[in-house]
Amino acid sequence: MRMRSKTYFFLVLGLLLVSIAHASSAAPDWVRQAASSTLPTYEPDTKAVVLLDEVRIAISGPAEYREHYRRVVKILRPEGREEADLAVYVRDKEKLHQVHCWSIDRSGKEFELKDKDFAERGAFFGYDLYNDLRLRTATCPGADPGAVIAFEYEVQRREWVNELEWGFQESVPVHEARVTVLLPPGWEFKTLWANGDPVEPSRAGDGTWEWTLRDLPAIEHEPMSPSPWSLSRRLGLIYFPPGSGPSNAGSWEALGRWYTQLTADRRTPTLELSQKAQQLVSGKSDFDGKVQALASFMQSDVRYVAIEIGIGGYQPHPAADIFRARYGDCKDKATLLSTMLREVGIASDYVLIDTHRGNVTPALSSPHFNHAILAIELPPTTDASRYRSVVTSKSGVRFLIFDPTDPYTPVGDLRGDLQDSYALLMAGGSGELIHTPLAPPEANLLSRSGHFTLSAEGVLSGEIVESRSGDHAFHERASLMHASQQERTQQLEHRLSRSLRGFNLENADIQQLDHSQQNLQIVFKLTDPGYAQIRGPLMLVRPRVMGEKALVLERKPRRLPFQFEDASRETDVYEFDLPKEYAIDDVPEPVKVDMGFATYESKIEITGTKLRYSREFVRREVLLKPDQTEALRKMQGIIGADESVAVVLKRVP
Amino acid sequence: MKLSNFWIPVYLVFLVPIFLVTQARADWPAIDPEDRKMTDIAEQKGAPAVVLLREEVADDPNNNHSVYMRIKVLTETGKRYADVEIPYSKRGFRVDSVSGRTVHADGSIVPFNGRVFDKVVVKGKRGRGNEIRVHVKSFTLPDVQVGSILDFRYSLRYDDHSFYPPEWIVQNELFQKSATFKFVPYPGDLIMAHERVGRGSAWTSYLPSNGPKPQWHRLMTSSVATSRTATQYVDLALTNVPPLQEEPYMPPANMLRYRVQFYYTIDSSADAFWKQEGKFWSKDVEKFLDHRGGIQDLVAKTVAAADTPEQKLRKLYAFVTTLENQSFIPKRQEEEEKAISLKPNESAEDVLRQRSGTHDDLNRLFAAMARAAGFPAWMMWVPTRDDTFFQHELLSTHQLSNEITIVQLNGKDVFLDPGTKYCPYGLMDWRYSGSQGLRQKSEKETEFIESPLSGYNQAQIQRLARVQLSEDGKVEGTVKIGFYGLEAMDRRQKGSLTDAEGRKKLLEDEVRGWLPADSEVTLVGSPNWDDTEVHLAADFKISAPMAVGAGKRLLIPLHIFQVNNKPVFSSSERINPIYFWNLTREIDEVHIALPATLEVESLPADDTLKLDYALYATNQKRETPNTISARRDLIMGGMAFPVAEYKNLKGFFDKVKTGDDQQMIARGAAHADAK
Repeated sequence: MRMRSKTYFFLVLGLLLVSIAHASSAAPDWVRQAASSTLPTYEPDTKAVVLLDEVRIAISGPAEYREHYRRVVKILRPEGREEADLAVYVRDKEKLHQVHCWSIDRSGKEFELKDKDFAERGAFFGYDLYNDLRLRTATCPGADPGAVIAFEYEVQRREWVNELEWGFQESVPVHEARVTVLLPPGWEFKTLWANGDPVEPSRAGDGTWEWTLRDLPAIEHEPMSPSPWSLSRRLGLIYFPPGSGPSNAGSWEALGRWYTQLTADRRTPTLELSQKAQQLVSGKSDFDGKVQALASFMQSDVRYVAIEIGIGGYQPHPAADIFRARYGDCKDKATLLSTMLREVGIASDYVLIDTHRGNVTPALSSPHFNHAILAIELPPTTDASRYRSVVTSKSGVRFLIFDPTDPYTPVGDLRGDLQDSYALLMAGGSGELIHTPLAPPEANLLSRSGHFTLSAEGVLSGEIVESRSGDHAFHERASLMHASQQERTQQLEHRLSRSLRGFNLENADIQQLDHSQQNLQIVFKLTDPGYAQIRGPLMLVRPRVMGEKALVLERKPRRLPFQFEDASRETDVYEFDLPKEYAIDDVPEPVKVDMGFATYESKIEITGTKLRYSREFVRREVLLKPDQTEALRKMQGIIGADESVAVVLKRVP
Repeated sequence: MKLSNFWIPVYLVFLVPIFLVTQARADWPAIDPEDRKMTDIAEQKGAPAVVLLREEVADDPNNNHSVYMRIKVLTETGKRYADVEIPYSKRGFRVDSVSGRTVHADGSIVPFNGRVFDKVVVKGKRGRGNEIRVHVKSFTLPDVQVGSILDFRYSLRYDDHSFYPPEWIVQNELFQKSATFKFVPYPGDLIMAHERVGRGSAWTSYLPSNGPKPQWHRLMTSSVATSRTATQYVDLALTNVPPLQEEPYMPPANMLRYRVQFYYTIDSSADAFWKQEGKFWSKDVEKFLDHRGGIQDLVAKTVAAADTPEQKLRKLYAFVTTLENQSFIPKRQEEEEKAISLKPNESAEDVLRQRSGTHDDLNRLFAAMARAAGFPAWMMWVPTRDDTFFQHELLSTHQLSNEITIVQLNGKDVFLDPGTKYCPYGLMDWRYSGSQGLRQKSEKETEFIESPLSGYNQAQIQRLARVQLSEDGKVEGTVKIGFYGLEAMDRRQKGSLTDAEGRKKLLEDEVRGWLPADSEVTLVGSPNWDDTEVHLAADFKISAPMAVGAGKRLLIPLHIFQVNNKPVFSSSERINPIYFWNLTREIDEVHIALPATLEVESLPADDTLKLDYALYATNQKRETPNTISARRDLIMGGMAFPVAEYKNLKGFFDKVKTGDDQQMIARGAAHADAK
């Protein structure tokens, strides 16, 4: 069982741990008891099994509690050795009372590490300049297959809201997971569950409640699967003093109230800020012009820098500071944009979201988001049809959802990982769960059209125009923007080399790279001297010149759903002028497949000495169930085969 | 003073820019108006940023290194250079005098008044009583826009009794218009490794041959000079330093980067230094080997008098490979070592008694056993060339990291490496091969030689497929794979880190990676994972969608193991030399039986491509009316190539890919043309 915090994913990453030493002693009874558990049979590739995952929470006051954690794992395979890499995080103003680990290796030898044997590490997420999170880490000795590893710590914690959340499933099976909560006299609690029926607690004494779950299957990573957290059995626990009811947690409305209060004084404008906002919208009278101008400023002039100290993980810096320094993290950028919008008469508010689709689920109101964006109120007279990322609140207000941190996605769109997701909108001093729209395939277009001349020697020469919108443009822009001119050429050559060999890229013209409101366009001018295979009187020509759409799927049975980032429409049209010395002798059959979640079709048309190959792939659904694996596999097989087919030409006598 | 080695601790290497700053904050160099207007640089079009000024000063008498950087932001991406991170060790170091500012294109200035953060990277024990305390200082400059000029400085100060000659990493990821470096060495006597007294400093450099070089300058000193009064300094001023750009198949980047490495000197010349260091190392080796009681007995039990010299040597080699190899098992915690009474080996006898040792321990034990069996046997100290190439003029033994054994057999030197797990007799880990290193000539003398490079047949993959094609284009049948020499060693080492289930997956995944998507691959039987002296052989059953339709015809790839291969080189231009880790060979043989309803219409022509160092040959033929065989042989017999050879290499591999992609054309039996 894992406690959910924004640091969770970091904590379980493989850590390079310093060598630790010293002091062996007998493992405590709870370790031995767990080690002697009778286990069910597991799949042969199971790396390890969690024998016991137990947390005891003693609430001492609002958002304050002592966490006593115990975990026992049995390593089954060498790949399970990572279970001996242990870490506990401690935030500013929290206190680690003790940390221990024990192990019993396969020969029965026992080891123990104590507080002093654990190293201190900073938590580095890669996106932040500074945060105040600390880790205490160690690698438990004797971690070979057959060994039992036990971990225990006790921390005095401080939270910001009266809510705790646990996920019970991991990448390995869990034999027994237990949560015990001790409440101060008279205090009450409320539970919320996700991904499974609620479990009734047992009473383990005065004010002590216990939830136990047994034999939970692993959520082992599979390619293109949703985040494990979104699939895990989860419990949210809200606690509150007698008679008060849940104040800052327990519902989306309560969380919204809490966040509204937390950010209440953050959007105070300064004179300079206000003047800048006015200057940016100067000459723009309509909503769209003003929003575009301020959004563009935010995307280009305010740099992403995350500095998170204490409640800084939730609370943005004041708009004035962000404006002055011209940097901030996602919530800072949302804060500044919201402040500037207000200065030009446009209302907006925060939207908290998670970039892992499914992590936010309606059943479990949780303060754990990893991203902040903005909901911009659309004036009643504004035509919303020009924007795809529009959400209407329960009160009927239309909001344009925009991510000011994303430098490549224009106003009106959302990046794929923010689409089709639940998010918390702060509206009217409260919170409301909204669902971001999934953009249609047409909003995420990748089209290529090529015109080529094929010589009698099999030399292909011509031009391909590639046009991208939506996420197709986002990813390519992000990649090209980070490269010098020479690196861009190398990237494009590398991309072409997946389909061609021995080609010469004569020119690559990248257009609209800096204009995210427009489609990104790349014009390739190329020659491939050995494109066609000449075999006696025959010539083989693969009409699909560039672009691969077939996915590689593992053969083993699929356990988890497939999740794609976005819907997509992709087209290729390649036209060839064929050499007059050859005539068409054989043409592959057209292909048409409709699996419901996606369609694919391709055809070859011949007109005189011209050959035209066209194909279209459309993905409509982004979440496929495991039982759709065979349909997906079949479709990929058809696409893969179609990408390899050739037209046979025969030399004219 | 303490100076047990010549190099700045590893963590300081990250301090790309470092500098002495005692000036007032306002004391920034004037900005050239042209620099304010600059929007791109001709030398690196589209670069995210350019270094306008870089100054590094290492002042050892005053225990201070300082950095000043002036960077022009040219693109959105270039704004990231406003975030500065300075890793350092808190054991004896501190970072201070941080200052900075942002200058906009219009000349307006925004000073850095923000906070400098200090964060623990790691603080704890590092085994056997050692402690580690690495921190990072970080700050970010304000109001950074495209077109801004960023100025920042900081100093790294260290303890009075420590001295750190710098390593100037001249080349980095940005183009540098001006980069200047200065090193003021400590002028007094220094106690160095082996308690030797050093005085004076020197350097080794890797810089453009036609550019400036480091220069000595004398300083005026007064009559009241102390041991800390500098008498001279070295500097280097460079302009227009290109960035180092990484490319596939290039030598280790750190070996290509322009750099200057300083060290305090003991000996008058490089030869004298290596002679002396060789003596120290050889003495250490001899001390380790010189315990022969148990070893003599063991050798007597292991070899027979009637054995030929080579048989004897092979038996001793085989014995050493049976011992636990600590370099190829998960690292034990100190507590685990204590529990099994495992201690660091100090002699060959220790290795034998503990039946366990590191790579070098086992190679030394082998040398001791060989000597006990009457063979002249010596050690050779080599670099690992995936990371380091030995530089004679660089007076640091740190570039030599591992030892291999040289045994004289029938008058010839044989280089052996039983300390590398699963390394067959006669080979060594490729990282130690083809490398210059220091070898023992006698018990007291050493010399530099180059270790031999293993041939292409010693890193070979052989694949044999016998498959039946069905009318729907699928092939089914058996595949036999043989991994030879270094290829077997590599897979055996990876396999040793997992269990039978994991080893099966390793091999199946590898074969599946060669075949078209959606292929089924099942390992049959148990490969000989532990039989080091024999190639690793594995059999599989496969089922793979292989042929595609072309109207009435089917197109069938013949070199079925190459269908997923991508061209080795995709770029038309090359900046860096080309470097393959080792010589290799692949031999594929494929037999495809066609269904009775299909006949071969056309087979690809045989092909042979030859370069001085490479060969590609294919041969396709009809074995029976319905059976086709295809053979493919690819040899890469060269390892390192200058940029000028890139065109030939790329052309060769492009043609290889073209050859590999050739398909057989088949059609309904009634329609096939005889070929």
